[in-house]
Amino acid sequence: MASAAATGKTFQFKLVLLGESAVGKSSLVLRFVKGQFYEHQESTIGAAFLTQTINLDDMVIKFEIWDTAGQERFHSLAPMYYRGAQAAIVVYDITNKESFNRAKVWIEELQKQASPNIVIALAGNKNDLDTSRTTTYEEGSAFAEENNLLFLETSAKTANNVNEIFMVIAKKLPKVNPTTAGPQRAQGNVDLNPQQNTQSSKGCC
Amino acid sequence: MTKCQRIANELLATEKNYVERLFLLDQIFQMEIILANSVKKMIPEAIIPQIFSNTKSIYLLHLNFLLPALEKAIASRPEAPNIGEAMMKIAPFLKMYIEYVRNFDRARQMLLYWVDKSPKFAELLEELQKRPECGLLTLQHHMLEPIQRVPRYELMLKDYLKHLPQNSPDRKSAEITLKLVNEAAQHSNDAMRKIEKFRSLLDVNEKLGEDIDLISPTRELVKEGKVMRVSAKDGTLLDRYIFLFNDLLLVCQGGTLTLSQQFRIKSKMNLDDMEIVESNNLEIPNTFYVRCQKNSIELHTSTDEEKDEWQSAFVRTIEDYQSKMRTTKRRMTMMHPVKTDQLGKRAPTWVKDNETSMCMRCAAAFTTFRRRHHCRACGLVICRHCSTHKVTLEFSSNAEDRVCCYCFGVLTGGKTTKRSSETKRSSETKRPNDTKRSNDDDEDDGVVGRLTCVSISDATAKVDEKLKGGKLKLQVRKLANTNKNKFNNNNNHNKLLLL
Repeated sequence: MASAAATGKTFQFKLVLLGESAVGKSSLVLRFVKGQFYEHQESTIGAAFLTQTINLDDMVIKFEIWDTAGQERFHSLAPMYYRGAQAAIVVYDITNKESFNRAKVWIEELQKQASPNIVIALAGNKNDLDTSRTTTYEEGSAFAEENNLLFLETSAKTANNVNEIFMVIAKKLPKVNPTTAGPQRAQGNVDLNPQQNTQSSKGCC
Repeated sequence: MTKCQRIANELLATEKNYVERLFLLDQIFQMEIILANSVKKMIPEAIIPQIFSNTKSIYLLHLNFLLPALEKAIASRPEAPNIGEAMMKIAPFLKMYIEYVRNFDRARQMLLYWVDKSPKFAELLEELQKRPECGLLTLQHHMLEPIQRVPRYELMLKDYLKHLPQNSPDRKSAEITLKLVNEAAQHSNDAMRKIEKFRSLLDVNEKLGEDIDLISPTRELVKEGKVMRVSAKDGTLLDRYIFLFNDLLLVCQGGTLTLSQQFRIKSKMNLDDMEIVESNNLEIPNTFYVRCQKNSIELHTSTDEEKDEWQSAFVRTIEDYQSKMRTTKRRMTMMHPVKTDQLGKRAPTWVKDNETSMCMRCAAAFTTFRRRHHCRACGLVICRHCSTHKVTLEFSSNAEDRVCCYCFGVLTGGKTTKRSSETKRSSETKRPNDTKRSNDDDEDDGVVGRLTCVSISDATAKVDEKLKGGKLKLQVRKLANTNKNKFNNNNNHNKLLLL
């Protein structure tokens, strides 16, 4: 990480996880951020916020992850969380057909209302439960292709494809100059424009 | 005279004796020293309570409660005194001995130190100790007496229970009393043990000099000793001294840099992810690996037994530590900030400044001019426009402090929240886009989504101030109106706004 930071730039992206309740959003995040998995993960209330940094080529990608609550009663909060997000992972459970349909609705909502160039990934989670699968890989990938989404089947339990999905998102995210990208922010080590330097401008109140 | 009677009488007699001793300690030694010291200063005033600790409370407990209770019990039924019942109510108070026991060593050291340092103090003590009631014993001897008293109750009660007839009415109370006394004694012993452990920690800390600060209330030394480390490079044996704590392993090299520093730390390993692996070394016997994320070392002991001891100590400690950490980690992973019903009542964990590049409410990027603020209620990092309000917060003793627009809404009873930032955003950057959208029925939801919490009248007022151009004003008003309709529908969601 140190070497990457020394040579490359740091980019920071807001990423939001959406999907029906109990499909494994928090578990995916927990696996990605802390490498842990809990069989009995409590259901999220409101949302949880975490960060994780990954290295991509010579860049450092920092994700500000908003893990939202899937329960319907929190639906009205969702816009607040995907507002300004540069990436979203819409998660469904491959053993639950309803969650796949819900994922389609989420994607529709994102395409309508989120930032226009948001990178959306579709994650078919729980692919360790292949025997009780109700949504085939083909269904998922066909839908993703139609809508121009990234697609992977994942398993937070076995860690299958978890880091990969964040990786492919990181690859696809436009690494553009923050001056032209609205809320999007990226910063290099040597910052010629001190206005953009978060490090120098941080500090509370 | 039955055996029980004899025990009761012995208890009473020793109790009388004991109260006299306490009288001596408190009323004679302590009082005289305080008096003499106030006339002419011999030792600092703060030292006296350090020597005598809570002798006075102990004295009063025995004088006013335990002794009269015993006397009453024996007087009322001399043939079969209810000792258990008499002591039951007082036994829980024997826990106050813990303070005395804990302080005892220090008290003794203090005493010796000041006898040595202040000749006047030594002289006074000498004089007091010559009194007939002292019985030729020194203050130190008398100070030992309270330490021995509680175990003595324990013994006598055990004896009493043994000889008490099975059907005695006092049996049940005596059993309870014995349990209580036991607890008090155990309590004191635990305290002693804890102090010893802490002292050994201090010792190690000293041996290691300035290299590390080991002092922590939860850290304990589990095992220390000499072991060899097998060099990873060429397999040579290196002399090492290792300290295994309940959360940390230190591998040190002997050798003095200064007099007090006996060891130099070679490596420091956390028990988080440590594992012990049996070695596959064919050339050196009795070796095993200690592995953690950052390091992996091979240790060698001279005998097989020693190796077993070390290995089992390691395994036990690691298991303990990791199971403890699991429970705390489990709590750590419930990372949602404060829940709605706890908002304002519980201090939030602040999101670190550098963890977010944009306002966590309105998603506007932070710059030199749009600075980071923290909502004191939910702990999120927000911009100035999303934190225009202050609210009294219960957890910080009702002080008024900055909160974000959402918490403001929740904390002020689900009233509409004001979001000047939103309006500003919509007028500054999103205006053309949003106004267009507001004309388009299909896309209306998006705007509402963004503006759910805007207090419409307030928003328009602010925008009025900002924008003088009549055309612009009109457009914004139009936008606000469309929202007003939608806003009513969404009003009930406001209560749900968490975070």
